[in-house]
Amino acid sequence: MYPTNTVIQLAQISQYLASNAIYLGIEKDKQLANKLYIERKSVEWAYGIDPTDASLVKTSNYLYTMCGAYAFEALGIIGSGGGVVPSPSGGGGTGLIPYPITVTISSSQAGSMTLTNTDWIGLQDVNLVVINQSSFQSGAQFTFSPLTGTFDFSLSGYTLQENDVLTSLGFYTP
Amino acid sequence: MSFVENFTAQQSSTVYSTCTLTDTSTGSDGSITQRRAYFIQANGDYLVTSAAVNSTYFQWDYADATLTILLLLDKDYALNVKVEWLDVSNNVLYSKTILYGFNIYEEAFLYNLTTAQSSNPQLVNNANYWNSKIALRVQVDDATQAITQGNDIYSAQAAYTRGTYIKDNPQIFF
Repeated sequence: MYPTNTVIQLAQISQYLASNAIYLGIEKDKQLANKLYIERKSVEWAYGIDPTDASLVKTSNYLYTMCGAYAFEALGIIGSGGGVVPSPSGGGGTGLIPYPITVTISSSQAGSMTLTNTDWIGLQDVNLVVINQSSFQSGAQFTFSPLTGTFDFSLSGYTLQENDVLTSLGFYTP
Repeated sequence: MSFVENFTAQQSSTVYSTCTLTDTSTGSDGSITQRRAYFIQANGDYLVTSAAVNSTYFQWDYADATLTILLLLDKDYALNVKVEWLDVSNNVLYSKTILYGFNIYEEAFLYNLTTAQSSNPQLVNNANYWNSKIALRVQVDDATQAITQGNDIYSAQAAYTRGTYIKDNPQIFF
């Protein structure tokens, strides 16, 4: 994953992008820019106190996931990828490359508790999914199979609806 | 070289009630033999502990570069911190007052919420969760702005007090 200071930078840009999208009527979550601001400020605060704090791995990963597709665009802006699968910005430590997922559920995908895409085969650490404004935790609300690239929401009983926007973050080994 | 009085104050990030003053004065004045530190609240009262002299100030030996005061900050405060440099006859030779915002209780609470969210993303689905969290962030930011831009202890303390109420009543707000 990306280092915390990079995630903070991505969140700053994503906040602006989300704000712009809200203004243009594209972003459904009208509070997203505010949410990104307050979460980024907290991660920034903890990073300022102790950049080696172990909790930052989880919270910065969470922040990155909240950015959704905007992080992908932000990566392009800061010159670390974007538009295509991003390349690591260096210093990530794990050797894994983040792979943002953003899907708008089509009519043919609606009505199912599962969602499959062969592009997602092999993804690791898919811990969190956000559908519209609701979050789903791996192991509690959904499972992800890296063998088939399938999300399964049977644990939560959630049925995908047309025009749901699903965002998540996985990692792949280069 | 003439003496130019100055100091910094810092709240401990591990023991939030502890405050440490550091003398950053430059130059010298052979007449100085002692220092006194005052923590003045927005309502004019002195914030003290049992270590204070006359329930008013803390004696700061001139030989010590820092003064650590335990159990001073029981919540977030905007405080006018005043340090006096005195001679042996208790005459005040130099004095400096700086307005500080000590806000780690509320910042830490916000970060703890982020940590909890990253472990249990469903938390944010609670009614008013985001509105309450945003409201708390606004209080912390308001206080910071009141201090850095307005040098306004009253507005800063009012914001901290509102934030403390949110922090201390999570069952109402979260």
